[in-house]
This record gives sequence, structure tokens and C-alpha cells, in this order.
Amino acid sequence: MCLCFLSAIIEANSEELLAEIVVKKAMCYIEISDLDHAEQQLNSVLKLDNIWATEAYFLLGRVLQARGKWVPSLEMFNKALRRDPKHIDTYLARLSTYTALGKEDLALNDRKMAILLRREKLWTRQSVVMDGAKVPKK
Amino acid sequence: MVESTDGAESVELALEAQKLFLEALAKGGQEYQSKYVFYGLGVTCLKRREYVDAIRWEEKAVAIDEQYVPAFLSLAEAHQMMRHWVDAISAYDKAFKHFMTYYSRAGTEAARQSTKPLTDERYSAILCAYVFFLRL
Repeated sequence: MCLCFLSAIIEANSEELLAEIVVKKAMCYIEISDLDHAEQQLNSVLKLDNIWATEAYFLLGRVLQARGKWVPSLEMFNKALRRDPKHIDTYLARLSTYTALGKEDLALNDRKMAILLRREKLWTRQSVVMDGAKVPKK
Repeated sequence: MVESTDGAESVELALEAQKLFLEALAKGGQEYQSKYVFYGLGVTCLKRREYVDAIRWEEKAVAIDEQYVPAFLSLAEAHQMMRHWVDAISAYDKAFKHFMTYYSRAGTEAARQSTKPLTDERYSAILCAYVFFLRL
């Protein structure tokens, strides 16, 4: 029974898992500066349109940034943030694009937003730890 | 980025799981030298940031079954953490290549196995599947 249940989970998750593999592979391609392969991989993830699309838009933005295509990279970062307005890495990446485009005020906003979100994330983690903390016996 | 829980609690859980897998391995015998045990050990090492060991265990798992997708995924992640980008890409490629074959086979196997009693190897398999999906 248990394995049958697991196989059902596997089936339901297979598309997302495939997207995850492709996104992570694209990250590696970016690291070795193989931008063509990275772009190709990421575009295939966008066709699936699942939760990994945010990460795909963010990484496509980074690919375009590496090519010096600032305006298209900005579009990608905006798409990522429309899907997930709390995606810290995207704010940090968009900040560089804004700086390159000479939009210092917008870059500063993104920096502030990234700091705020990071604090919020840290606070949430701490709260979880506090809530789960055991009360010592007297 | 989608993140798994990364707190001290899950690292503790990984340590407990690692002990269980090592105990299984120490029992010896063919049944315990399974891909599930090696994969499980790899995942627990990964969680504990012991990447070199994670690579070693996952390589053992894929040596037993060269289509074992979960092990390729862990192997890729460990290589990625070690900044071995080309090796990581290669492992992701293999995971992708065998993905459909592996999961359709796993589904058939699961249906066939569901009537069998719970052996140690099946127990390891179930544990590994949980480890894989919940990422500890």
C-alpha cells in the first residue's frame, strides 16, 4: 500500500522534478559561462509553466545580464518577481541591471527590499525555532 | 529558489538516518548492500554537508543501478556544492535521460511489490523514497 501511495506521489511530482533537474543543470551551465546551453534549458522549463518558472525567469535574466542585454534582463527579472514578489535573489540581480542602466534610485529600492526580505526570512526561521523550543523542566 | 528545511532539527534527523543506514550496512549480506542503503547514506551526508562522502555513496548506488534517478540527483547536487560544474551537469543529464524509464519502472515495481511482506530491503526502499521526497 505504502509503495503504491509513493508511486502516485512520484507521478504527480514528475513534471516538477523534471523542471527542477533542468533548472539546476542550467545553473551549472551559467557557472561555466555556457550561456547558450543555459538559455536553451531554461526556455524548455518555461514551456512547462510550473513552480520552477520563477527560477527560470530569474536565471534567464542572469544569462541576459552576462550578455550585457540589460533591458531584456530587466523584463525577465520583472516576470520572476510577478510570480514570486519575495524572491530575494531576483532583487539582488535586478539591482545590478538598474545600476548598469543608471537608475540608481531603483537599484537602492531593490537593495532595501532584499535586506527587508532577508530579515523577514531570518525572523520567520527564528520564530519557528522559538515555537518549537522545549521548555526546560523545573 | 525552492528550499528544503535547513534547520538544526533536520541535520539531527539526517544524523539519525545515517546511523540507521550504517547499521544496515554493517549487518553485511547481499540484501543490505543495496542501492537504497547507499543512496540513503549519500542523502544524509549531503544534508550534513559531507559532500565528498555523499559523492562516494551515490557513486556506489549508481554502480548497482545505472538508471537510479534519485541517486543521480543527489550525486549532481553534491558535485554542485563542490563546484564540480561539469560533473554535476553530467549527473543531471543521466537523471534526465533515465527519468521516464525509471519512474514508469518504479510504478510497475511498486504495484507488484505491494502484496509482498515488508523485508529489510523494502523497508530501506520506503525510507529512501521518503528521504527523497521530503529531503529530510
